[in-house]
Amino acid sequence: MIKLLEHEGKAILASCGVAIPAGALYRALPETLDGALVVKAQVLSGGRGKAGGIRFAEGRAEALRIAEEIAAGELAGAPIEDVYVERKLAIAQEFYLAALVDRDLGMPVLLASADGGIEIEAVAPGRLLRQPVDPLLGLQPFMVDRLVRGLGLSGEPASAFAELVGQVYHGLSAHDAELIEINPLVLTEDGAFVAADAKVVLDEDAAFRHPGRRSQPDGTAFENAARALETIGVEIAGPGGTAAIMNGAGLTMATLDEIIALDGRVSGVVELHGATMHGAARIADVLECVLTRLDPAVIMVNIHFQFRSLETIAEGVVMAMQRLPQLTPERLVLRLRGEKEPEALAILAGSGLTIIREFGPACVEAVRLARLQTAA
Amino acid sequence: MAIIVDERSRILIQGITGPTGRSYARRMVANGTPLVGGVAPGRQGQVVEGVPVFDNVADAVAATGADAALSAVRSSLAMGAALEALAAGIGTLVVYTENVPLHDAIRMRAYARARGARLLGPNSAGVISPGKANLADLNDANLRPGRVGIVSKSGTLTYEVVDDIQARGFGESSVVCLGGDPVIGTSYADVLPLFEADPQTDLVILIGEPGGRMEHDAIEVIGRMSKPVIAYIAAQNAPPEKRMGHAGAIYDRGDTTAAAKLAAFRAAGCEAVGRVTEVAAAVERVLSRAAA
Repeated sequence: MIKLLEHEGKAILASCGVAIPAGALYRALPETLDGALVVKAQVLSGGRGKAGGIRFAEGRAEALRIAEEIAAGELAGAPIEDVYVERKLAIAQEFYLAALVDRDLGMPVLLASADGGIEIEAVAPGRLLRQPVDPLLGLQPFMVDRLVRGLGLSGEPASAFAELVGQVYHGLSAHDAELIEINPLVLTEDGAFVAADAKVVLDEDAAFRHPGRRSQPDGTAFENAARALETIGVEIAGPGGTAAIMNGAGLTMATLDEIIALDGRVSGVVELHGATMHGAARIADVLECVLTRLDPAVIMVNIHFQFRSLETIAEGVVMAMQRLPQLTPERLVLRLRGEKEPEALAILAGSGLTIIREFGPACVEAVRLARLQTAA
Repeated sequence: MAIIVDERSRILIQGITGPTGRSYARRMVANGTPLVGGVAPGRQGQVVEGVPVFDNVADAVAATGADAALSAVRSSLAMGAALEALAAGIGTLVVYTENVPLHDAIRMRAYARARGARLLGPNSAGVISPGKANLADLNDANLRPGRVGIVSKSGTLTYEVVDDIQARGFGESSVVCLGGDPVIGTSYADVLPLFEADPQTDLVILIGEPGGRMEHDAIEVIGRMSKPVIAYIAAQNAPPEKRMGHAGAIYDRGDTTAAAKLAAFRAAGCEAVGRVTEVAAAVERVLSRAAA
């Protein structure tokens, strides 16, 4: 799930053939962009307009002055990534159009409304049209027609909207996007549809089809470092608690739940994911990353393998303890269960580590050790 | 009986010459799973663990009569492999591959439905009917035939639940892992009626997650079942909009959180728990109540 800023999303829309207002980031504002302008904070959070992140300017000089002001601040607590300046549109009517993947239907869905310009959640259900597109059929004229008529469009705007629906629908799969949303979609006074805003979410798993495109979602420094090791790290409560390293998403979620249910504090969690394919040194790297970037009181390594070998994990833990003197047995709880368990335990013999086979008791021990560490 | 796979299944492995495919083949043959062949383009004529390798699925099906397949190819090839298997008439397909692009999952799901085939995954740990057939990454040695059915999005949570219920003396009829991705081929609502109709299943454990409405849809089906269902919904404490390893376990709206799903099961009169360590006790409770 890679969320794009407005100006990045608009570049995607433009590549699909959708009209966007002439615009540029404020540091690269061309001389030709002058007259009635809109200055927009580039943030990932919603509700930007209400928070003062969209302001109007008469001419280039004023736009630049406002852009500097916006760039210097923050917006409702969210960092401002950049400021985008674009030509103000002469609005006749505001619509809403989106293409997204409906996970429950398992197919793309088009959403359209004649009540654009407000948050989509606020649109009355009867005013929001919803058109699933069976991927085996692709976008059919009857589907487009239903949207066009439902919006009450006729004549020139009707055919312009029909073309736009095709561009957005095809853009969704062509760009491997989870969402392409245009709100508001402006029908200008001279009868053209122009995307006044853009919200695009890309599928990180399809990055291999789009060389050069950003393939990692935004995260904390720890989360980004965890990604670089091909793991999925989630920072939760920060330093001083228990950090837990698991194989598998399910076990990761369950461990987080169990430690919290035991009144423990979770600094963060790591799902080993692809890292299990890279040998023991990678496991040691993961431990080092967790220790140095999350600064937890205790690390719990909670691995239940029924396919891969636990020996890799055991070797990785031994390596990490040699590499990191601060990684003492008082700060490390191991739960190892499954494939090559006796062999893994043999590797760890003499390490002084607490190794517990059962999930529940291992979580209890992690919470107990974390309390001892914080009390000390 | 059992559901989806049994001793009469005829199984192929797609990607049988890769390290994951070979590991699967070794385990299947060692444990008596009816593996009949494998597919790896350009490797026709080779033999892995005593079964023949074919260039493509159609030839493999023609030669072996295969009706089920496990796909362990890399993510960029997963859609092509799935469409090929479905086109060749494979009726039960496990896509074990992780990190499959969303739009690829959409296409394989749509085609499987059109063919009337059962697709588990992408990102599914597979399906196993203990003692009969194992198309899953669960180790046969850790399961034993019994009367509890399990349907889950997560492989590793299934491991935990299986260990815990076996420690209390239960075994499994079949274990079905749907996959941890947002778009998957088979839902709880598809699997629950199979357990309801299976004379070897007395009770079903449903293991769910935040994100999507699949668990909500299951509640409707449970309302029409005679057999008890215990729901365990993981990630009660997951932060919003964070991928917890499963791309599918991301929630954004009110009623797709783990807490909302847990509450929905309870409101429908279903036994539901939010900690994996509570599942086995719930099974014992429900079965003793049923026996009383």
